[in-house]
Amino acid sequence: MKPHGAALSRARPMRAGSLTEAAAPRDSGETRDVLTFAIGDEEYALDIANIREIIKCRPITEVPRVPPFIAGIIAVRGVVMPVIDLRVRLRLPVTPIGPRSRILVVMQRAASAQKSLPAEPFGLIVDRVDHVVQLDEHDIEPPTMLSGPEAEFIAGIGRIQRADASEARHGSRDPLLAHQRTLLILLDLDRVLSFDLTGGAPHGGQASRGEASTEVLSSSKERLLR
Amino acid sequence: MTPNERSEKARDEFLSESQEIVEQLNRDLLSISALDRSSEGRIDPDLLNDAFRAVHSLKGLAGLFGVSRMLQLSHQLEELLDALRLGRLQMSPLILDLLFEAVELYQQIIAETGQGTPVDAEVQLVGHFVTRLREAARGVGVSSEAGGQKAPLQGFGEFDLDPLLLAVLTEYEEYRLRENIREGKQLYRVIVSFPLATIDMDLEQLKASLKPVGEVITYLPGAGSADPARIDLEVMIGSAHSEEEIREAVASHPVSVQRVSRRGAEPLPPRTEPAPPSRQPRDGIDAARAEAVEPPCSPPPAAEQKPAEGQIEKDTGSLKSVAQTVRVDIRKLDHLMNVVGELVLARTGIQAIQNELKRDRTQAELARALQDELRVLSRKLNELQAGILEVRMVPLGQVFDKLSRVVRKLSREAGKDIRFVVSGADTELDKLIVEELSDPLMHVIRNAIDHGIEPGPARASAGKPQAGTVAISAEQRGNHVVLTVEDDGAGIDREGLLRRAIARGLLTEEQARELTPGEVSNLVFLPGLSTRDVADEISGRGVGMDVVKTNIARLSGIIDLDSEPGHGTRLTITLPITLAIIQALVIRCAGRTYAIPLNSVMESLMLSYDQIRTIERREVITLREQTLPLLRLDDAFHLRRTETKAQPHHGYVVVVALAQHRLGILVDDLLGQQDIVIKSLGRSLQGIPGIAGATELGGQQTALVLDVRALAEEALPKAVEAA
Repeated sequence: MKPHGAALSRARPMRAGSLTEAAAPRDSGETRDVLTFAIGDEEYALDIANIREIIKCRPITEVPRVPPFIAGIIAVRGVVMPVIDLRVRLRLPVTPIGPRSRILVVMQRAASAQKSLPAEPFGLIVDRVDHVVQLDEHDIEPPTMLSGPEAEFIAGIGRIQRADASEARHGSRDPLLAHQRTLLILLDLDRVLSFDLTGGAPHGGQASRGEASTEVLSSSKERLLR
Repeated sequence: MTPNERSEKARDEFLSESQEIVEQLNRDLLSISALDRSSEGRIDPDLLNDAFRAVHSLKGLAGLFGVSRMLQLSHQLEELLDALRLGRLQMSPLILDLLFEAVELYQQIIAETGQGTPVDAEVQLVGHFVTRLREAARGVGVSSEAGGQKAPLQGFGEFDLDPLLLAVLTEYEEYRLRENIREGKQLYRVIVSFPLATIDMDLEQLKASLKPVGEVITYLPGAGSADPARIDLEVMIGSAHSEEEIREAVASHPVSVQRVSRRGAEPLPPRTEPAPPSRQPRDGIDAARAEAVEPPCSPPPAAEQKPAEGQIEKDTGSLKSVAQTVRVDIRKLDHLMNVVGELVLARTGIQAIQNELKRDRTQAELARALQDELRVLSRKLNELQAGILEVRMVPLGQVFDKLSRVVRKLSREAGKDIRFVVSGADTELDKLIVEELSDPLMHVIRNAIDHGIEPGPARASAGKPQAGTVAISAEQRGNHVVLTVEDDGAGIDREGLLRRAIARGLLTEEQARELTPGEVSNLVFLPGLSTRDVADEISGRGVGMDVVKTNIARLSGIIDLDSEPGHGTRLTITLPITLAIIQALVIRCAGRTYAIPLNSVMESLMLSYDQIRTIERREVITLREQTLPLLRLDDAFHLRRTETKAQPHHGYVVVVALAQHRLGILVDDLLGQQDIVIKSLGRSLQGIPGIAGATELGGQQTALVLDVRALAEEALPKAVEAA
């Protein structure tokens, strides 16, 4: 089990600043449903339309000669798909897979792939799946305010404004609400899923494979073993 | 289904159906072209009529799905073919070329419709082409639609033909009737009675039997049949054969044959039918055929009012297929295959439960019963699996037909006379493999024509026949299909090949001296080595053979080349019949499980690590007095070992073969053989060197399938790549 309390107390200062801004006027424009999930102490979100299903972690078959963020492959009802360890992909510190870890099965949208080809499934490892939230388009800001290592994979920052009160009434013990964290990092799925096998991890010569990437690879694997 | 899915489904349906018809059209044209080349120059009218029908069907389809370019093309093509079949226009090489060009245009349109991207240039192309077709048809002088004014029903010689029958002949039928009479053929009536239920099939069979002895001009239903479930047909044929011979040809059918007498020559034989054939029952038969689609309530008079349309419909009744077949999207079969795979896994689970149950004495009875049921389940599952695999099989003829067209085109472009010989077109392979084969084979054929077959004068001075021969054959051998492409050209210029290979630093002179002639020929498979010094316009810069090899390897195929200078080149491609299920050796290495396709495994043996020696920094062992290079899988894949003991003392060597070369793959453990279904890792993980795919082993476990060929190429010296 991950030490949630400890992680949350390390909220970044930048975050605190943006929280005060959250008092901006709320507008009811277009809304969209997003699934929120946690990686480390951050709360992330993906459009629900991209998510096909959520499955428990299962043995992941390691694939050699691929970038370290590819944890391997799994087969879901006969369909083989690559699994991406979002932690590694977002360049966050690596921790073991816990009992609340899940694999989100997402579809790579046709826009990023060639049009005539069907969408392909991917698995994404996340630390914890939270819930579905309705997000106002007006409450999504461009990702300029973030400059962390994961910045290139971020489509925007969303604020949750509604639902709080009603969920609080129901006594939800959601850490999101309990800690008054109302910012969601919306991931850019296309970017997360586009990678070049050769560019990501040079293969070919033993020497060309950097010690660093081997390190990440093995630590990612050790997560699975624990 | 959402409207979107529905339209997608409709589009797929359209694509596959039109593809099929275009292929049929291509076949017809090829047969016509073959006849055209033969000395007689007399074209089988049936072939022309079939081509006409194919185009007519395409026109219908194009209209139905709103593919206007195709509609436009089909319309004009139909007129041209109509003029041809009615004898208003004589077939010429120019027209034949136009027709083949049309097939290519159809292919393009279909491909683009499939991708949903109509290109403007293409639209124009169709426009131009249609204009050319129109010009070709104009040569006839008669607008083909016009034919209209039916010539008075005369000129049928002294044949005793029923005027009522003549009145219902279509223009084409009438034309064929006149032609037959003009050619001095004798006319026969073949009277037959068929059960309504199977009339389509029976009629086709009868026509097939009649074909060798004569031409079916028309067939009409007789008026009265005693049995309402049967229908009497009168088939009129024109033939140069005697009545006796015709009887013999149709002996297997319940028919009677009558010669149509000539007026005044002999007395009229008594007609067996009480009434002359009439229009009414003819509509009846169409209605009977259409019964499945709509109730036969459409009143016959309605059909009478627009005879032209009615006739064409009858004429081209091919939209309803005679054969009992269903077209299926290959992805649906893939899905079924997946389901079967899961069922197999579920069975393994049940088996485990049964084993558990067996241990409990009190449940022995139940365990036995379960065992019996499991046995039945297993058997049926195997049948199901085999059944689906069989459904995926298609004849190679599909590819060969496309190739014939390519040969025709290329031989004209290269100005060489080429004889294309095909055999074994009915050999079957998995649909996926057949699809993937057409490009590599096209490259091979192209190379044979461009580089293999010498120009006419060179052939003459070499004492070879003027026409070069390119032969393709297919043959099934066990679980493999062997394809051979042969030409009787100049063979591969080994000297030139060696020079270039050395010049490019692919080989040292020393290495070159050690190569056998066969190994030298195989250098053509190295990237960028063309056998011509100058890149020419037609085949570019010898693009191809390395691509061919890669494509074939992707299908788990092996390609082999054999060339004799001055006598030609033979290329042999060996392919597995199906990619879907293969036998594999399951192994473990550094805690991971992998599957190795058994068809590349020669043997496997236990090995104590102290037997390993090092030659030129390469690990080898000696196996039966031969040196076997080794590949450590854990090193090749950078697998980190988690076991406390860093290296075990012994392991296993899996000996794999790559043409004449051998490689030992060093692994920790052998887990046994298993039938596996190879699955792709998906687009994003495609092309990982050394990995051919993945497979499920049960219990949510997947394993990677090794690409032995790629591993061997990595491990063995450069020159081997060409093997």
